[in-house]
Amino acid sequence: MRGGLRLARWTAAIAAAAAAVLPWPNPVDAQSVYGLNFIGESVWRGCARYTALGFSAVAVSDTNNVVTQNPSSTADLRTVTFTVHQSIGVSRIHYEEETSRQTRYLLPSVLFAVPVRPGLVLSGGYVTRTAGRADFALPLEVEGTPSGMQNYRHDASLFYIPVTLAWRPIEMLNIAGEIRFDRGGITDRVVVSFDNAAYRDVESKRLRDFSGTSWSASALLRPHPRLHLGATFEAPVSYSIDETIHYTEETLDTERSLEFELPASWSAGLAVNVLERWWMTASYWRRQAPRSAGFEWLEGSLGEEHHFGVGVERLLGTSGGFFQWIPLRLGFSMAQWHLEFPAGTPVRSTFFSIGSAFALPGGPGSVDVTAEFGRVGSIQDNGIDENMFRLSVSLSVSERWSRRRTIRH
Amino acid sequence: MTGGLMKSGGERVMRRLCLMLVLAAAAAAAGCGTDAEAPVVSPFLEGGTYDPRAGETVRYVDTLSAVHVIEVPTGIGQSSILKLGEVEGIRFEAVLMQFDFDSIPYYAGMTVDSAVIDLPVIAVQDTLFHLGVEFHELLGGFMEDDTMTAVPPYDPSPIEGSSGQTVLDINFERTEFALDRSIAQAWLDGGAEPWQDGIVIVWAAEPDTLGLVEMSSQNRGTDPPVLRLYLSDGTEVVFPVTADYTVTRCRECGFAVVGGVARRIFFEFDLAGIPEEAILHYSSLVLHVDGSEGLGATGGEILLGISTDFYYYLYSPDSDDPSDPGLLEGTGVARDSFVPTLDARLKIPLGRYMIDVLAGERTNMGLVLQSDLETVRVQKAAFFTTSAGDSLRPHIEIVYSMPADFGGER
Repeated sequence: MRGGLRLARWTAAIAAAAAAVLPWPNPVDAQSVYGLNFIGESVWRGCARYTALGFSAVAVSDTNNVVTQNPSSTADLRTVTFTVHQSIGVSRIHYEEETSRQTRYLLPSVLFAVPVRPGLVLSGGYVTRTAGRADFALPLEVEGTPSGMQNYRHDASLFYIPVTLAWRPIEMLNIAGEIRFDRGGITDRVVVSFDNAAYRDVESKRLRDFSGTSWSASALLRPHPRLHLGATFEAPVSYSIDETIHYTEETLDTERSLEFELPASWSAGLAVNVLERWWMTASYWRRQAPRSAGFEWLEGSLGEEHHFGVGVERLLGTSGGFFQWIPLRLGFSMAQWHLEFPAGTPVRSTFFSIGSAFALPGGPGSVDVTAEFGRVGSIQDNGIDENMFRLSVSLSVSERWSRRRTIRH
Repeated sequence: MTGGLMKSGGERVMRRLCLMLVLAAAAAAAGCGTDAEAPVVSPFLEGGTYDPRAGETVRYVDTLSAVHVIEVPTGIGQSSILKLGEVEGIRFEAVLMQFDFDSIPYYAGMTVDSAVIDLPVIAVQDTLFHLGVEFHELLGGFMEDDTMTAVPPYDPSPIEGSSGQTVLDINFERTEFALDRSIAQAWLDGGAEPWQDGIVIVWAAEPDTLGLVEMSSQNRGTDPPVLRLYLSDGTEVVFPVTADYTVTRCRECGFAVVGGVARRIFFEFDLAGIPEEAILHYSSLVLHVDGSEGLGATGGEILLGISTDFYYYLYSPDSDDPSDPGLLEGTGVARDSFVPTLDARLKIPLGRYMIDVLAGERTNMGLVLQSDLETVRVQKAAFFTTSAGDSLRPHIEIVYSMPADFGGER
């Protein structure tokens, strides 16, 4: 009887997770306008809980989901866990006298984990590394012809399929190693069209297929019950790129292969238990400037990438009124993009975030919800700014949250 | 216990709040929609961060390196209507007729009172128009399947009429030519063979004004031209026409495509000004129809319900040498119709043909325009010539884009 009920709950939870993923028209669309560059915008790894903490949670060890900032923290998972993280963004872009409202969607991560034995967890899935998109049209006027348009479309998505082994050899230490199968592509399409069916569209399309393999390592140290330290290292990714350029006239098509390296990155952070249920977190992440090989037009426009986040989390309570027992998360983050626009001027983003969570209704696991408010770029420095609101929702099918709350929170 | 109930109730409230937040955000996002990005992404294009650039789009006009009018020796028989006169420079200069005289032996020895050639006129272009014609005996036979571009040999002495006249002034009211009865009497008496090869009706003189007389052909199926003999015993003998033919030529057709004669236009053009990598959007042969010189259908044809549209056929010839028969054959490019009597710009799309030429898959041999009913009907479509103004002269129009530039890779 109990086994049947458990199966039903799992089935309902997985169905809810699948239903949550399916409606998104494109998994990598929720990017800033500054994502209109070669690889797009970096997508930070971490579910809505980590988003709420401003991605300051490299040292956060307590988790019931797989999409964590520090993969080694998954060593604490005690049951098969499935997590899907997605977000929707609404933004208003300003450039000189022009404004544009954009609504975009993103599916950053889908991961699952299987505990092999207590303290040893194998996980894998899909993680978006960078994403960018644009779809716009410019008017075309040629004397003696119908009105026309130059239609541009840019889709960029680099992702990886991680295979992670997280281990807790001793109570105060988690470590993890990860093999990543890096894939992705950038498609740039330009179509010149006229408002007359007798006129043929002329299309030029460049496809760049990325493939590579990389690895990462991470650790989580708990030297004191009220102090946690975390660090990650991602090795450089050497991408092989197969480029094909297709034209309406096939005789003009070209092919070539090139190499591109995404430099190594590292992060470090700490989490401090300042009060019984209150933790403060801070993290710093950095990646060297990529070289512009293969993207020569960006020569002089690529720089180091930084991210710094701080957060405060009040964990679940076990007593008190409504506002006493719910989890509460606040975060602040600043990032400097790899893109300099114009050349020599970094693009920076600043976000404030707030979030909470509740148990998955009728099933095992939880739902994390986070709202982010922020700005990317600045009119003064970059000429363009984008005010953004993002709502992130993560659904994690795992052990019952109420059980965790009594045991660990 | 109380705390547990509070937690349970509080969690329900939390769930509802979060659910409402998610739904509200989704609804707000859906309601916000998405504006055009173009105005705010332009700095990425201008600043070079976003590298693709659409190639230049160009409208290329070639005013044609040469234009030739090709006269194709063609004549058409088996028409429903026989014509005499001239309209829009097309001269219908003779009508040939053959009669069925097989029944003559039945009337041997009888007396002919009178004999007439009855021409069933169905339309005259102008009711005041009249045309003097003579009747001559042909010196050789003909068939309706023949291609005749000139009047075949005939006896120079016209056939005499009943009063010794040799000219019939045809108009809409007078369509019978009374023959000298002795001619027919000789046939019945065996003194002469009836017109074995037929007769030809030719213009007696150039009229003051030009016009057109149209009459039924034996191909129409009813009311054909006939030769009638009225015998002294009151018998009327009818010898129907078994073959007839209108000999036509272009006297002054100008820059025109004419069916039935036939006349085609050969356009030569030069694409050297188009870059090798150009990708075609559209191409057309542009002509300006001179409606005042066009002929869609004659009055008689309109009476018979025949279309006034000019049906054209454009092809790429097998040879670009005007003296080579290969010029008269080739691969079709376009086929359609237009009204030849109205001034208008005619754009004949060149579709796949020009794409193939620019891609080097076909050789540029020029283009030939002809009537698609060249062997069926006499029609004329006239165009303004290469010496007309820029807006009227014929030309080839090509709209193309260069391939997009991806970071200077092309």
